[in-house]
Amino acid sequence: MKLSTPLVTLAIGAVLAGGLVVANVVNSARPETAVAATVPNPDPSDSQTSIAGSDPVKDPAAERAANRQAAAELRAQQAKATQDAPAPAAATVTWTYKGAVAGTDLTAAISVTGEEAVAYVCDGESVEIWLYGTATDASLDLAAASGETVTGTFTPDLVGGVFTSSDGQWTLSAASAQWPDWAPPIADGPGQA
Amino acid sequence: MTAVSDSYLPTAAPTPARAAGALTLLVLFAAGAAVAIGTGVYGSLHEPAGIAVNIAGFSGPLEVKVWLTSLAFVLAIVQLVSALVMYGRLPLAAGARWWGPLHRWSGRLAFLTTVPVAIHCLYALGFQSYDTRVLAHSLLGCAFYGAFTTKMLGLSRKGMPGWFMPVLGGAVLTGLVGLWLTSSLWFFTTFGIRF
Repeated sequence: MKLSTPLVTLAIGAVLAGGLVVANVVNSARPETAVAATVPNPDPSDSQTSIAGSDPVKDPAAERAANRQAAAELRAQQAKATQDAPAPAAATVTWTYKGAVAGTDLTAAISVTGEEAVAYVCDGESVEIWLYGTATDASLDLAAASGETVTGTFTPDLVGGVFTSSDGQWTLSAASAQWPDWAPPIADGPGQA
Repeated sequence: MTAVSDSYLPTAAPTPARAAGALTLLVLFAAGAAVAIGTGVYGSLHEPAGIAVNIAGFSGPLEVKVWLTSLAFVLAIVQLVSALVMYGRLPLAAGARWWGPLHRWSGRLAFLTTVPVAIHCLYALGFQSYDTRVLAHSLLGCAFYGAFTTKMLGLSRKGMPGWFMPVLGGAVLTGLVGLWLTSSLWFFTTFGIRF
């Protein structure tokens, strides 16, 4: 019986796809896996850490690479944590908040799912910071690969805390907000290509 | 590859090739539609993992993807040229016997090149619609594999109508070019050429 080459092509593609999915499932629990969803800062000249513009840009490329590496590790750890835990994940609710860092141009979006928290802080121009961390009891504790932190407390309605960067500390407050339908879930992290 | 033949070429089979009926076409298109819809449903339902396996040598998975997609895009141009020659639309070395093999092998390679990219898209990112580019990319990705499936299934049958291959080939080519435009070109113009 002769095989048809187009069908062989399809079959090889399907087998390759299946193998890759299996490799992904197996590897996604390991910390050394690369992060997929980290999009570099759109403007190469931007510094991701300079909040008030006072922090001189060192090497943006190296900085981004370091950010990406650290974010990858954080996310991989989180992925591992989610996999290892018996995960009542299906039942957990995601709370989303939007707010601002007082005294700066920064706005903040925060998402809490179970014991995981993700925050996105940006000024709409040059600063864009993703912070990852924990939400235990009523406490938030998040850190960015580039060193910034957000700590504070939260209720289903409000977040009150402190945003810390190398430039200083500011009060951060946010209120419960409906996440817009058009926006990707913040818990997904930085965007994609 | 002795056990493998290009069965859409004339063979010594005694039975004459019957023209494919409407039912055959329906089944082929239904299979392609099932692949496209299944891909989209998986991309929507699967919780995006955010991470996926990477290829060494690139700075990140997005770089891997945009370059693999670019390779597929270049091969797609080979596909277009070789198809035009085989259909007599380009007077380029028209008698040469290698256009067919070139078309088949560049096509195979292009298809296999896209698979790791697509798996990364589906596994790590999922079907998304938060802006026009991303929605177009998601839809094109699903449609591409649907059209490709229909074309491959059609190739393995005899007596397909004359419009079948040009239409399906055109759909596959359009899909791939659209995918490249909405991912690699966007990436290169947004972040610059990087590896």
